[in-house]
Amino acid sequence: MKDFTQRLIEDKVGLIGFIGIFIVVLLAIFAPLIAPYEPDEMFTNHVMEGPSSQFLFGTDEFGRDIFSRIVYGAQVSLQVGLIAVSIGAIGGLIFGLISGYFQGKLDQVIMRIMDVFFAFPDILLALTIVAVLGPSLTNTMIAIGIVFMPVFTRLVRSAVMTVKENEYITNAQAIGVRPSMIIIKHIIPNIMAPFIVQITLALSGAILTEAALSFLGLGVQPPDPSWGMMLNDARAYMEFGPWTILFPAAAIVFTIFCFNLLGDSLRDLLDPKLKQ
Amino acid sequence: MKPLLDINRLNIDYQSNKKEFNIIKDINIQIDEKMKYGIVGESGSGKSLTSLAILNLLPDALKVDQGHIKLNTDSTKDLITLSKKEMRKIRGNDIAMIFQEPMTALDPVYTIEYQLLEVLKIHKNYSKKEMHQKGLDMLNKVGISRSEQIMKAYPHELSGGMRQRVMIAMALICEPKLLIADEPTTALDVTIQAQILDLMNDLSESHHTAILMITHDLGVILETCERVAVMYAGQIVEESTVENIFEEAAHPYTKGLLSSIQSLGERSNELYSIPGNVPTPDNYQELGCRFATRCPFAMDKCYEQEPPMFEVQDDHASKCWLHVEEAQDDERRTSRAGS
Repeated sequence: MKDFTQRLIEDKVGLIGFIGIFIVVLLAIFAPLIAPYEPDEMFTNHVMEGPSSQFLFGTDEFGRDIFSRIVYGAQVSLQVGLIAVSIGAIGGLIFGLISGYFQGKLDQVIMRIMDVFFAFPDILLALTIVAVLGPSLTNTMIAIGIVFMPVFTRLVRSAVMTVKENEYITNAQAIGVRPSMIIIKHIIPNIMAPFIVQITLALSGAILTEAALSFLGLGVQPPDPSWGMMLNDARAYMEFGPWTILFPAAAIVFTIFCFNLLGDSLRDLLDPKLKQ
Repeated sequence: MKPLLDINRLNIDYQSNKKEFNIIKDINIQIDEKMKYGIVGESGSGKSLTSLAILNLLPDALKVDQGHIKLNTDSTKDLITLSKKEMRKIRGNDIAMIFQEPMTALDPVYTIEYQLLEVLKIHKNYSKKEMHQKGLDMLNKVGISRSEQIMKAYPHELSGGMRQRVMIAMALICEPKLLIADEPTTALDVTIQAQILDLMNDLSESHHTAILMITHDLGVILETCERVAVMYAGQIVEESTVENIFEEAAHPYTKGLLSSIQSLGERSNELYSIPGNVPTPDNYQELGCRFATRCPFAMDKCYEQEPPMFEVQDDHASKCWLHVEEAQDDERRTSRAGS
């Protein structure tokens, strides 16, 4: 682990990603301390004002401080990203391992169900699930998690099937390792590289999907701030106040970019072949 | 004395929804303690499957149809009927295995130390310190000099020969009674091959381990083994001591194998090869001898009836009708001479 941190520090690109995410996390945790105003506080004298020293990122159509809303929005975005992706990734890992390792009939059943999920466009499936469960942040996260599960399941399954054919798995069997331990100790570590990359991709996807759902009124409920919702609200005012769309968009891009940088370097760091 | 490993009339079938056919037929092998036994045959002759069957590691579609594989250590156990849990206690502990590809037989994400000691963790109760010391000793024994350093290394940092040494260390660290080596030198350079074989010979003697050597290379057999079984298309066609096989090969297939060896310094324009290919299991002859289609001496009988294992001399059996015919001829001659 010490070795790992040291190599992360040496890897400049990964470090940038890590620091970026760290900043976003800090913003989310200390939002009440960092944000100069409440996210839903309206300054009716300052509607649609550009960035100034009073309102760092300007104000929106209701005179709310965009900077404060972005800071609070980090909470929602991170929460949705992390929890929704965890649901999808953990579910996908379990189903993928069962499918790939044991194969047979169970594999067929699991994969056909996943195919059904795959058949729907992401947003439509999420929409249906939220419509059934009722619109709320929790249900949004569950819905996005379920939407991402088939991708993870397929990825894990195919990775497991490749890894399983390696002689070190037969070797592990030949020295008497229990099947459960073979999965935990020999298969999971060896499928981590594609899995982690997929997680970073899914994180950005989750943040975007949440934005879309919020736009349709099925995600975060107003007046709670969410980057996606801010983006969508600002669409109408883009011409008069580009800052209303620029800063939430920049926040999304920054976060996703940092996740991707980190994911990329994590994959390299976790690959022992690239260890110096 | 009971043999250490007694494989008796082992049959392995392929079973799927669509078809079912026999792959391994009536394998009999007895390996005594400390004995070095070789199985030789072309690719696809079923030698690796036989070794996997011993450890009960056959792929799902393959089933042992009948027969016994008895392991006589302190007690006698039939490895075919043993529960999964019992079987795991034997794997790595009583019977260890070395694989063909040292490049892929080590898990790339763990250090040598972790993998070397994993088998100890499963089967023995040592403290961490003892295990570490055992690991170092074992690496020294297999001729790895910078053992402290190698323990911390990852598999990709080692050369093929080094990895195979590590594999041998892993296999022998629990002092198994039987070591199955499935083409342990095939993937290595010729110079390293000799070193690895010597090493296995030395260690099996000092650890009192029997070796089941599986190879397609008769040279390896000659260098390491005492007894040898020649396999063809899932059957043993000839079985005897190494001397008998090399000097007085009886079965046409064995003769073919021996004449296809090239020795250094000998000049010939053409390499000898046995005509045809090893049939795939779904094309095995139902009746008769499985080698008949490629055999230069094949008779009508060979296509109709399966030849028996015939004792051509003491301790030397060969599965061919020729020997039966010869024996009958001899008998006729002696009886004619007698009358």
